Amino acid sequence: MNKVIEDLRRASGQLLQDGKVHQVVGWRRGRFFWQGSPHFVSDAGAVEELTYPPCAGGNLAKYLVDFARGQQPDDRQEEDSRAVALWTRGCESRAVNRLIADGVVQRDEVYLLGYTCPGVVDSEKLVRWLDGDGLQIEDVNWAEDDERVLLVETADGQRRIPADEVLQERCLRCTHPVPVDCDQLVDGEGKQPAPEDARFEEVAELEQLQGEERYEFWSEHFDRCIRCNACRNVCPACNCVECIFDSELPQQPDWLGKASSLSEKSQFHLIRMIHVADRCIECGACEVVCPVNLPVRKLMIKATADIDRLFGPHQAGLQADETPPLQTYDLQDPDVSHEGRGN
Amino acid sequence: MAEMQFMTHDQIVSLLQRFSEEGTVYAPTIVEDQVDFSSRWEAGELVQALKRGNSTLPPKDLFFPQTESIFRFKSKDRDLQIEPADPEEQKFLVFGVRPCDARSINMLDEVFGGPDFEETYYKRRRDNSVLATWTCVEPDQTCFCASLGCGPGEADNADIHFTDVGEGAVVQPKSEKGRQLLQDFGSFREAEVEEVKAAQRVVQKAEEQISLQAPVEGVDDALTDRFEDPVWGEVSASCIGCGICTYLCPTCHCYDLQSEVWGGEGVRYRCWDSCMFSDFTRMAGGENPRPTKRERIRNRYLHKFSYMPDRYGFYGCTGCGRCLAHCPVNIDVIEFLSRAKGVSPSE
Ligand code: SF4
Ligand code: SF4
Ligand code: SF4
Repeated sequence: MNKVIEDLRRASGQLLQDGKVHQVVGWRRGRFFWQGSPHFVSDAGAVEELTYPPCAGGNLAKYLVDFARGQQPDDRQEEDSRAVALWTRGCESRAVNRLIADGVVQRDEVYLLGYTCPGVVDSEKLVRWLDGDGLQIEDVNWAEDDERVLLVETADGQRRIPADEVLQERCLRCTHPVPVDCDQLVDGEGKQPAPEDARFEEVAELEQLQGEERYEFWSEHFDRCIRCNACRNVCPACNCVECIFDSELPQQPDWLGKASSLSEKSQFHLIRMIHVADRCIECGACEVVCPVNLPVRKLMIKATADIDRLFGPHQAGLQADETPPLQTYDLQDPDVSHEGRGN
Repeated sequence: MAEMQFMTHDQIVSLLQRFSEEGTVYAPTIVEDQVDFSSRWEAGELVQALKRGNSTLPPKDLFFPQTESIFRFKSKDRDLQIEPADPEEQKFLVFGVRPCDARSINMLDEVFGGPDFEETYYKRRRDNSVLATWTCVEPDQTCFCASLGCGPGEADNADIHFTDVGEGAVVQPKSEKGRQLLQDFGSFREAEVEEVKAAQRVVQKAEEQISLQAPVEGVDDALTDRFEDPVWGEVSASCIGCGICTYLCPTCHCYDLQSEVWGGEGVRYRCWDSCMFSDFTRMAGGENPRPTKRERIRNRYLHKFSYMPDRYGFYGCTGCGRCLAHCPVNIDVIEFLSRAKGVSPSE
């Protein structure tokens, strides 16, 4: 991965130097080993600050929405219409396609600097991996000699860990680690794509539960939600100009109260789930950011799985000109609900 | 010293159980691999839960609930009836509170229970509760309380303080309520000199473990006249505008008043709000005083490190490290303080 990082930096520096882009969005290390922070560089001399930390959380494409809507701190002159460069993994490229399809971003406003995603490390898995030996992790880096290996520094020396053993669940089931679209692809081994049938594995058990049990399962989880909106804010499919959970303008109805009650929290999740169901790109960022470990992604997987079964195979964000199934009407939909399978 | 007592872990559990017969006990509970303060705490898992780091959410919700009814109203033919919600008085004990969180409740006392404005429901909950604190035997990597004038073993405003020494805990009542608790719920033996010394060693070791420091001194002065400063754009660039930092922060206390209306009747309630939200203090008509994340982060930091010291004489931060640990994009309060003071973050 270190060579990939070097190449990404070099390409970023070149883009800035040539004046092709006004900013590059990538990553930098966080304070602790389990953190990574999106990072913005507009000076070619500062590209060394960019890196790909093993725990590179959310989805960088979401910042394109902020750029498009004047929400991103940005020193550009009015007439400067140069693109912004985005370090792009598979999930970011799918998110960009969605943003283009939703009319939020124009393709020429963004330069996609692609690389094959090595996956994102699940810091808790990493901690558990070393727990048996009672070792505390001091730092984690990608190995120089093997792209698929992590070097973990502990007080008791260095350990080598195969990255695939400690990747986040979402990454283990990712079908597109290679960007589906980009302007330039940096060479690297990256993670192998998962087979398509891995996508819905995690909800198989949940689907066996009876209605009552499912209700209980979700109520217990929803009840712990603190309504911080992080899952919504990180999601590239959540890109409405005015979200109904915020709308309080006098001319708009109050769709959902701000109270932290189980009914309002459940509504928050169910509304969001239905609204992004056919546009969810399965990046799992929603679950990564949740401070109280709610299985938000499971809810999305279930919605995606149902849509797949009801309307035919579908993965959002593979093309920029797609029309999501819930936005089309097709008599040929293989609707199987009358057979009692699309439950 | 004479007041120091000793309780075994079993005795602590039975004290809590006996209190539960008259009121509610909230104690650290492991839920979804995290620590929550819960009334459904488990006697068998209490010691385990206490060994973990601090809770993900601070206990502030017990005093300043995320949602609370203020009054109900009914109107018919221009006749308006208002009835205060008047929540039932309930005795409760919060057990296992970390010193930094106890300190934050001290701060909330100034805000909601101060001499000028006293918030009745808040005050009532404070009066009806006992605050039992617990020394952080193993501080987290994210803790920097020492920079903010507290520490793993100090809790000035606790009613009773516990320090685990292995087999049990050395217990120090610190207020009349704390003494009363011991009197009402058991007679325990005085702590031996050795045990008291062991407790001191535990605290000292914990203090030594806290290596993270925040350059907070004088930051209020450094922030004067910095309303328009490039630093706000720099620190806010990666912010996603969620409420994690404010909702997890033990000292953040902004709220909103909302109503739920069904025909001619309804309820007015108060709920937490966050200055990081896009609709925070947005006016009717749509005018927003803080239109982008730049202004929102500025508000959060200035509130803590400029307005609060100005108004109350202390920083609105206890160094609990929650925002540092949980911000999904790692916006780092210590890094901000370093930048604000113009020192490099490693200093
Ligand atoms: S719902 Fe979750 S998994 Fe789906 S696109 Fe949004 S953040 Fe990604
Ligand atoms: S991130 Fe988690 S706590 Fe926050 S609103 Fe989403 S589910 Fe709730
Ligand atoms: S600002 Fe951060 S570290 Fe300080 S009290 Fe709030 S959550 Fe804790």
